[in-house]
Amino acid sequence: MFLLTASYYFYMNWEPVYAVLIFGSTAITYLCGRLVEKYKDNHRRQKLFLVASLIVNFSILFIFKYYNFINETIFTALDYAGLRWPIPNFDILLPVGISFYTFQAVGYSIDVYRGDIKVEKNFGIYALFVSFFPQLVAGPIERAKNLLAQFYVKHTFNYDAAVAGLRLMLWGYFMKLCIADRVAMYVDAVYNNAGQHNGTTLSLATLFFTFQIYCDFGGYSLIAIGTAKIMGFNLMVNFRRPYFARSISDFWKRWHISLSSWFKDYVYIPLGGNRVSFGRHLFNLFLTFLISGVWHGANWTFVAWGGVHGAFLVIGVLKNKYLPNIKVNSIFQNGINIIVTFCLVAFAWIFFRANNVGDAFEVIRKIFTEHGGLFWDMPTFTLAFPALLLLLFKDFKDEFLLPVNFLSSKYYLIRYLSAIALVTIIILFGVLDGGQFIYFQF
Amino acid sequence: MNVNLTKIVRTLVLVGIGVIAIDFAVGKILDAMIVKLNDCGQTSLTNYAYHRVETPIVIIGSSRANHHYVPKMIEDSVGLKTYNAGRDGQTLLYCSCILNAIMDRYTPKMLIWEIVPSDLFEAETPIALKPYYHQDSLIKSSIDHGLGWGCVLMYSNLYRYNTTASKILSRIILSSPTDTIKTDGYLPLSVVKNTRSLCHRPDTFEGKVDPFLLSQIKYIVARAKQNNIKIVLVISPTLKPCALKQIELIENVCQNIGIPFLDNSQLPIFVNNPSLFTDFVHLNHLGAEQYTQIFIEQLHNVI
Repeated sequence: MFLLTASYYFYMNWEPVYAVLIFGSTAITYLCGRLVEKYKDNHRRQKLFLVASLIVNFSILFIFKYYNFINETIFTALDYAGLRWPIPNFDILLPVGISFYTFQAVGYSIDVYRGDIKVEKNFGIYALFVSFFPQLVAGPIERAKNLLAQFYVKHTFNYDAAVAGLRLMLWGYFMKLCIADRVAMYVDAVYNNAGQHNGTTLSLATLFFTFQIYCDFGGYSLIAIGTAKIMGFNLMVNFRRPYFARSISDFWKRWHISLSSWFKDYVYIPLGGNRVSFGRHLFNLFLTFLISGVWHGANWTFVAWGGVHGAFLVIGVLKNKYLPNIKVNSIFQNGINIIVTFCLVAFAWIFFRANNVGDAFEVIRKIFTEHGGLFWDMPTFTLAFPALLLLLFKDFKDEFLLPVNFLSSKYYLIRYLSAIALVTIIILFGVLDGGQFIYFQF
Repeated sequence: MNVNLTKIVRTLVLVGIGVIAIDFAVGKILDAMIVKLNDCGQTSLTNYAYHRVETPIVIIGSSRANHHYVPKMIEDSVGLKTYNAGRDGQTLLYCSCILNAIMDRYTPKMLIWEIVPSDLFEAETPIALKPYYHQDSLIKSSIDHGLGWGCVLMYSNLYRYNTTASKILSRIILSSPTDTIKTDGYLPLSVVKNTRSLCHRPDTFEGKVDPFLLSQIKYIVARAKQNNIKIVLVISPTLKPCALKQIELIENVCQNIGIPFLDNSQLPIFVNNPSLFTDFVHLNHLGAEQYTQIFIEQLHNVI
């Protein structure tokens, strides 16, 4: 009860009235779940209540997130055809975290329908599952199988879990305040005036954005997971050194894992996954990523970003099927694969960051054709590059299991000095008046 | 108490003590380093304006002050040494704090205060002055006003030097012996051939004069008058006309507190003349020279 109240209080700090939405979504999903279980011998009715739950949840998402986008798209399309049929847009704020809690609720409904989990009979526990504050506004998108059971366990304060949680939070704050918000200054200055900058500057801004989005969202995820851990809850890992991925498909096993696994379980596999004809498999892959792009936001830039990733994955599957696998030194091959994957991912981020699709193509054109002097921002570079090196070092040592530890060193002194140094670095060099987390807008 | 809780409290206290010790040491080191800055970086220029300027005429304001007034020309015409203490991105509270610090140290003959039309309507915390928080009561009250309860953070030296620390370190490490502060502070801007940056942002102002900002101006003007220092508020040229309502309000304020106000924002030779601008709010060096010449003539009338 205390956690549920705290979660709603936390959510209502943004826009109190939107608590009604999350409560409505919770109540309807709960009710449908109970009815699905009640009619477990009547498949038709079960399906009916599942569909009802999905329609309600996706309708809320559609109205608040996509209505204006689709309305404007249809209006523009009709306008091209010489028809003017204006319907007013909704003047409403996007409820924070709506995409996250909707997907969590929908995942629960499908799991109950499939019989993967037992229906949750305690409404309070179910409401807490949907609104659990550490992961409410930007994930990780939890599975009922993992989280619901944890609400039934009596949690006592545990020193090791609390320290582990604090370490995650500390590193998360470093990622957000010392890297994401720092490089954001350069990225925003360049991308918001893309027409004024040459390809060299746009390349660096794109490289910076590649780290900004990782550190912003990865940092948030660590803070959320750490907060939950201090209270004794284990949330799923959301990022696993994504820029050390060896291929695009490997990247998606490391990036926003809770979302990519959600799409795999509830979209890609129901579409048939790879157990269909080869052509249909490619289509399923592409469609899943296109939908993933749409999930991120009501803008063609996100659709394009999802499409680019879908295309990369399709090309990857075709390559594996038709091109021979050349055996070379594995370290060399891994190195090349990591670099190529990183470049492809960075390329795709151009669509994600650009203000519109036209800007994205302009940025790409300039990167490949218009080189020149770099837009020099010494204060940002001075602080961003050492922080980025520290991040890369940590990810490198975790990836290749180097026996070097600082925050979790077995030596008492190193552990304490590392924590003190990191707090000092964050306060002294972090951007303490920076902006909101990027993924809060989704 | 639970053993686990005791352990975590002990851990947090140990980390806390370590951070406080570093906070204290870093504060002492940076306090000593900042006064030794001697180059052309923005942090150094603030330090110079705060601690060392001693000219009879001081120009203060934002980047528009810094790039629009050529002290050498004023000096040659008026016969008094002039320093341009304008600084990029700074607004009214920064200017009032610097002027106050200058008047604490000596009595200049004249203060030229370049004001941006929007300056009087929204208080912007002078974060560039955070390092001087404990040295100056006006800086303290200006920052406290902006930060609210967050001003307790100012008791952390690490927070006080947040971001500035890197500038101090990089300036000290990278500055060359020849990179010393120019005596007049003026930084000329080059002619920009790319006219796309000269686009105008529409001015949609509707608001009231901020009472805290008004009280700061009144305080500085009263101090200047008390010490027989002439003070003049100026708006230098802009490429496109500014919001007239803002200028009217500033004019009223100046009338009420009894100081001269020179509205040069609409000077015909500058409005819609991109050849004299670097972007839509900043004059290039050519524009600055032409403008300073006009300003000097106005100044003789004010004097």
